[in-house]
Amino acid sequence: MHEQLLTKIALNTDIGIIVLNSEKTIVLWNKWIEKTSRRASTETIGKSLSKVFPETIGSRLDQAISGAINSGNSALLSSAWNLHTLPLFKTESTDTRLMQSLMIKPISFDGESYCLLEVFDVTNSNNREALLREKTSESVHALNAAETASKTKTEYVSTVSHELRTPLTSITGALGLILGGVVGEIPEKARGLIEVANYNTTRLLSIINDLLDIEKIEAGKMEFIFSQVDLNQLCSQVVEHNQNYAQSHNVRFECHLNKRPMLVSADTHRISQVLANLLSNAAKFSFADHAVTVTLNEIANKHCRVAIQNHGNGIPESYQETLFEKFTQVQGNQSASKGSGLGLNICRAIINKHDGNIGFHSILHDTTTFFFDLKLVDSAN
Amino acid sequence: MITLNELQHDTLTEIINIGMGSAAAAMSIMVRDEVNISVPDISFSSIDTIQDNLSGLDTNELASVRQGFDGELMGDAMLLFQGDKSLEIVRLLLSNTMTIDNNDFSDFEQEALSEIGNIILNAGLSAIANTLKFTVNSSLPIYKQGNLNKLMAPSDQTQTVLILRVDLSLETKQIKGYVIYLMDIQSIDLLIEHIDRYINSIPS
Ligand SMILES: Nc1ncnc2c1ncn2[C@@H]1O[C@H](COP(=O)(O)OP(=O)(O)OP(=O)(O)O)[C@@H](O)[C@H]1O
Ligand SMILES: [Mg+2]
Repeated sequence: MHEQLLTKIALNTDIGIIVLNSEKTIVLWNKWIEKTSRRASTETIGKSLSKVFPETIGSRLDQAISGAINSGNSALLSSAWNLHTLPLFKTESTDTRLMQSLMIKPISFDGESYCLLEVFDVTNSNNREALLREKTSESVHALNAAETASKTKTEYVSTVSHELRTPLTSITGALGLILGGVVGEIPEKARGLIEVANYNTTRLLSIINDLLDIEKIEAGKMEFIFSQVDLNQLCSQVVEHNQNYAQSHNVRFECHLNKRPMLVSADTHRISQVLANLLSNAAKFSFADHAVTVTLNEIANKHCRVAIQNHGNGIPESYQETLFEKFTQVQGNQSASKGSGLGLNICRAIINKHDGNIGFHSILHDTTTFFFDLKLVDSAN
Repeated sequence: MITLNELQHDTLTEIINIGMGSAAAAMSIMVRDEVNISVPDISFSSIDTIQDNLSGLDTNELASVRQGFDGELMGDAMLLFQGDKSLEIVRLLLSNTMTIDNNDFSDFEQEALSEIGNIILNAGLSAIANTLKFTVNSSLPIYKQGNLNKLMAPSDQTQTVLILRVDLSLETKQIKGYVIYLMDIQSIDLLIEHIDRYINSIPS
């Protein structure tokens, strides 16, 4: 191609082109650069770049130009780090600087080193980028605010719960004593009212204890004391303790223990808590006059399964995912004693801490079985 | 396989570390925070065993910046980082709180990483070229992501590889990467010859 034609192309192309010789003197200044810098090539050719753009002295661009001329390095100055490398402006406005990406390339010709600068206008892509960044940082802020709010709320709930627990404990204690006849015969009219008060304060206390447990688990502060336990023994104990509860819901608890010892490493107190909640749920959501059965079996991989089965309305399959979350309660499963929906969440946290597994199967209007599996310890050890 | 004697090895490591020092200085200005780059180790490998020399990187998911070079030495220089780490580097450097995931690695960030790679790769090349008196021209950086095989061109198969382990640290973060130079055997021989010449020129 004709040499003059090539020059014409370089002058008219739609990116900015500047060529410097080895002294960093401008030898080519194309139309695009004229337009955006507002300097005609007649003003700039033959001058050094630092004369025309004093702000580039000592800049990354200056270093990159030296690198190209002296070491033959190509360089990229992306808009990510250097938005406004050269003082170039948008055509339509006097003081909006162009956002640019620059490419710096060494060229040797006739034994001379030159440096080619290609300048790209990236204003549009950067605007999009900036918008995206703004949006994401907004949502990060919102998330942070929500997290802080939720933390404050948790702290608040926990403080209030602690404050409530002490007086409530003494109220239930006092009511218990009154009902027990310690202060003498209770008039028949008063007894009913005191029983209502006693029932509700007990319930309140258990909700507060649940809240505090959850808070502890979530903060990783619940302590577990592991020891070797025979689940047969533990189950029959807990079932015994809760027979009264079963009676109040017109059901019976039946225990099918295993003939062999079911030794696991567990925190007795916490596993009792799991059993108590599963038993209370089974009783609460059972048809009247049915048995709730507790069975212990060895299952695959040296695990033991404790299963608690009741007859009742059951739980739709759609709850498989969410039932163990806080406050999930099955719609339409009414029970005389209303819970807070925290029990199963606590159970899961406790079983997880034991590296165990908890779950349920349910056939609607028939049997519902909740189970948890724990690893058996070798009795030889 | 090519091995360097102790003196050659130390000399080359030293030269490259000087180059990385200037790259770190340039980057510190860009990010307005202290950046340190060091090269604790260099070694040679053939292309088939390169994987064994990239310890600490999962070669299934790499981010790379590649630049060709030619002149007296010919080949390709590559900067390799763990794929997911590369985004972290850019974010850290841009001190940005964006929470987009890897797939959304934007052009903008690819360009930002290309520039980082360009600075590091040029610094290594210039240090070698200027100290050992070579003429080398480098081309523009190209960003690519993928497994090691995908990042290598078919023509790389015949090349010998000079591998530099690079530790980049900023604030409290340490990021491990590698710079590799893929060169033909003539270039490697020439490189060693120049190292020897340089060693002999140092008055002892
Ligand atoms: N055996 C069951 N049969 C039918 N539904 C059940 C059964 N067990 C649990 N559920 C459903 O799961 C919900 C959650 O149980 P969970 O133990 O977490 O809370 P709760 O018993 O309502 O209250 P809390 O245990 O905190 O006093 C119950 O409200 C009930 O809707
Ligand atoms: Mg419950």
